[in-house]
Amino acid sequence: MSNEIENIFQEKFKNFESTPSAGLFDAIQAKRKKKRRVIWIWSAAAILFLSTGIGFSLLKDQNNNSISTDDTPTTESANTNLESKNTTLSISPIDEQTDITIESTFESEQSTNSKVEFNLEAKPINSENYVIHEMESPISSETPILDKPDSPISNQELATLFKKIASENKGADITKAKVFTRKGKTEVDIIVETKAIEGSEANIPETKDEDIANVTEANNEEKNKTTTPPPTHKLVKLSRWSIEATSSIGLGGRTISGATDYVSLRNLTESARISNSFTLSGIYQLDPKWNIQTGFILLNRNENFNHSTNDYVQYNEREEQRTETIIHPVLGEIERTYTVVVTDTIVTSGIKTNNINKHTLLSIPLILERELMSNNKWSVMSKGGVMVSIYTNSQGNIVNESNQVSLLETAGVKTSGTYSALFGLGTMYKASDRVSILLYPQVNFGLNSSFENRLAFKQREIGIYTHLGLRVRL
Amino acid sequence: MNQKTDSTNANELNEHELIEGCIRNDVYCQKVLYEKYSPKMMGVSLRYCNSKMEAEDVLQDAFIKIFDKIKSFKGEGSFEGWIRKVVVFTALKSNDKRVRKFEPGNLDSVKEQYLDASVYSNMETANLLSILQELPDGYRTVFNLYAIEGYSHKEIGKMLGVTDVTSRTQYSRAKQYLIKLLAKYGINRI
Repeated sequence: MSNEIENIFQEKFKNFESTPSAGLFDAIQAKRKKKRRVIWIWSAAAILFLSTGIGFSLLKDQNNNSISTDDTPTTESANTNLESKNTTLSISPIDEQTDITIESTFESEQSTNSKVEFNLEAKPINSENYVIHEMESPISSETPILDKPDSPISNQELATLFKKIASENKGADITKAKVFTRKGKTEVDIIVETKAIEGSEANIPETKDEDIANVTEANNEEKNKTTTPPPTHKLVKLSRWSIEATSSIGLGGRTISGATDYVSLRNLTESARISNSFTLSGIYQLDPKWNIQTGFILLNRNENFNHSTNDYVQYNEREEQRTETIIHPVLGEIERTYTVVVTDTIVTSGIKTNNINKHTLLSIPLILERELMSNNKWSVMSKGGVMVSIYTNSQGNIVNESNQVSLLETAGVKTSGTYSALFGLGTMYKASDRVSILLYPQVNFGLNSSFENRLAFKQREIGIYTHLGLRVRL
Repeated sequence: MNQKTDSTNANELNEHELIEGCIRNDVYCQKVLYEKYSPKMMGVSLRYCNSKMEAEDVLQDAFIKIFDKIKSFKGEGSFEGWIRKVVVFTALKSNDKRVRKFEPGNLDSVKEQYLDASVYSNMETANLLSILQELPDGYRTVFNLYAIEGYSHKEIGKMLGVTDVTSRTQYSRAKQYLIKLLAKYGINRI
């Protein structure tokens, strides 16, 4: 018997089946949804945490840079001996191989309008690498600036730069500003010379690179109340190009035109749900107000699909022969055979399809953007343009005219060539010269159908998304 | 005789399409897959569990894993075999939560099992199942794995974190216990 047991059990359980409770599948789906929701929440929290971290570190860098400017000699160092007139200006390497030291003399006159002359003698190892632009006091945006043919920055940009120096040093009496540009490079070094006014400090424009130039000097004791030695500063020349990356959350949907019955059937089975998109764009500044953008937009449009079919009852009629034994008063026990019609009732429960349809569209946009208003830190922007899909993938279900569920993939979704118009109105915060943070609500709506024309309806994609992202000036 | 067919195209989907659909997280395909395999897997789950409720818990967890991990099915071996493996491993993990009892309780305390309506149609097997469910957890697990699933003692040892000698000993004891139970129910000649 003992050897039989394995065989018996194996045989008996080979095809053993048992129907689980009716609601188990729904319970599985509910539990999976809950699990996914938890994953989403954690991902969102992680992204938020990371962005906050990056944001703080950017701000911190900015603060550190400001502090490094303060490291340059201030009025305190003016207590040093006037006898020594040599100022050593160490500038960080132009390229990675060469350290450059520029020695300069520092001359000064004592008067109520004392002038701090900062003569850069051309003793640098690679002095030919520099173009020097000077601006005498008073510095204003109206001051004409001479073009230097070998300067890597334009006259207009230079004017903007001086204007910035002037506007950011309103509390100080600036006597001179020099801008050093490096031939063939986009970096700009600035030296601002100020005459200190009691109770005010020169406000050096934001720095981008600490320790670009540390000035050590010997100064005149007598002048210590009226002058500050030249602080140094570096600005980064901004190119016309920027890159932008945003992610968005919003609601995606569609409009359908076609037979009324079918449209209402679709509207009954489909409903919009939270969707998202990601963009990566290259931006070219046309002028201070306008720019043009293109890149990629990945749109993940989600929608609920809920469809159910009714319980199906099937009646199968069959004839059955039955035999019964009766006791006849005369004949005694006799067998009687008769035929009955038996109806078997088989109930097949209806199928509920609760699904999330996913439409993924990768599009290329062409967008014009205009700055509507701005101050030092904030801008209000608007944009408009078109985008065309180059890849589409739709997964999920769709109901057809006969109320039958089929897979979206087989329903004739266009794989590319869906055109949409795009509009947005948003704000931009300039975290630094290069980096801006964007909050940009945008709407998009389809210009043509996202389904092949062979179907008896037209479907246009629509959506409203709020983009959050970074724009980095190159 | 009036025959209707369901409006959906459940029968038109082959196994490959079903798997693809489930990878895409298509609920319709998941439902079809569930309906196709759940009765058989419920049968597997019942053998490892004490009750139908517990078996359904295992089945639920197993199908969540199946839908989550279906991408990892590389098409090596049969799909049903893969699903069965997931169910068996989920059942083992679920049993792990309890202390696996290898030592039997008093045979006199063995109670009659309630048979669910859905197993009445399979009466003989249902009887055996109720007897199997009366085995202590450890015995039942080893018996299931060795006698019914066909795993070797070495494999069972690995699965349960014991040596293959322990598996062999437990199996031998499980079988003795089972024979006693069968005798108790008067099934001494099957």
